[in-house]
Amino acid sequence: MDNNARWKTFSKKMIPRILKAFLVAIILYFLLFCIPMLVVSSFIPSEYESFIDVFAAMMIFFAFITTLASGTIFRYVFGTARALAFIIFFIQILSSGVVTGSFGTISILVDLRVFIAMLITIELLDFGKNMFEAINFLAETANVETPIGTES
Amino acid sequence: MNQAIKALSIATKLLWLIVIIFSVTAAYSAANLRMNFGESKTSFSDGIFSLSIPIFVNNTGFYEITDLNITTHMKDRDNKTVSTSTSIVPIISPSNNIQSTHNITLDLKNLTTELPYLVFNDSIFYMYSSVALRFANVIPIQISTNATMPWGAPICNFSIGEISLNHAKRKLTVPLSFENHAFFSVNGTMHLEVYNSENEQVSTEEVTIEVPSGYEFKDSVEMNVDPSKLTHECQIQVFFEIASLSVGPIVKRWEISNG
Repeated sequence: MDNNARWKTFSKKMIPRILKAFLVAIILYFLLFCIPMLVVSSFIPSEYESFIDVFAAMMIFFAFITTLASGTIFRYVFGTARALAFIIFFIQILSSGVVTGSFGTISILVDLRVFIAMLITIELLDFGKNMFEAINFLAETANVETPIGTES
Repeated sequence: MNQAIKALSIATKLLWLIVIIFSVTAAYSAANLRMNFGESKTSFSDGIFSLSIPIFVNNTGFYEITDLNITTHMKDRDNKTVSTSTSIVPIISPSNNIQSTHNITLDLKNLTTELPYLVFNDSIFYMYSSVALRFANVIPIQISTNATMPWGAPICNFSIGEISLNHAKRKLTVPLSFENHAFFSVNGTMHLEVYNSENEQVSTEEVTIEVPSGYEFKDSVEMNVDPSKLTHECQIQVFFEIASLSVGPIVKRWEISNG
């Protein structure tokens, strides 16, 4: 009976989260995979398609997992991990931040390093924000668990 | 702590918004950028060949285009620079269009001085063209292409035939021939000098030549000469003064068979 009650509480809490996480993942899948492939696939050189795929996969994975872990410390852990992963990903691209493509005898070179540097700055801010949120969450949880005057 | 989190949250969201808006508007602006090259015009005067290419840029986007730089490098088969031409447009404001001209010049006098083989031999020039610009002040873009351009020698397959001496008329007959493969006419003078084995000038002659592009010159030049000054072995030197080019001497030694 006790197990049943626990299971009910767990499913009440978790099922909406799982559904929400799936919904977020599906929306992001359409926004980041389907639409870019339909609209701009002809403009993107094939060697750069993998970057877009990796970016979209990372976005979807972290969006799914942070939604699933919302309300727990893991939400901030995954948020920090996401920011860190994107910083590494953008630095990786930044080293080859000059995008080149050839169309017959014409070759095009686009230097996106400033743009990528802007994205890294945003992710650094996001990383800091998630760290603060994690500390804040831990501090608030500790306050709830040990009300003032009850410490030994 | 909460205020710091709020501030960071607002900053992150604001920056994401800026990046997304910038990306969308930049892509839209780039798609609406129109760049056309007009019909090129060629001119040739005073030994300088120039090719003028009109450029039209219509910037209907939201961002300005700065440092528009059109460069053309022309190199010969040995990768030596033949000509470098650059046209710069400092700024094209949004919703604005400009009209400029890219001039490619080829100074034939310098060209044939630095690369004399081009006077007598056909060749190929490698043309590297690039259009570089800075889009929205932060994204440098470069579009480049290469092409080849044939070069036709103005005095191709030059040859001096068998020189003969007419004792009775006291005349030397020098058969000369060449083909004009150049895009310009070979108009000017051809100067011939004959020296004996003691390096004494024994005859000189100047003829006017007019050979249109794609035509062959084949003629014999008769030179007055004092046969007593001729030695068994002589040499002839040929000089050209064409289209402000000075070519020569082209030297040929020969032995007088009946002298």
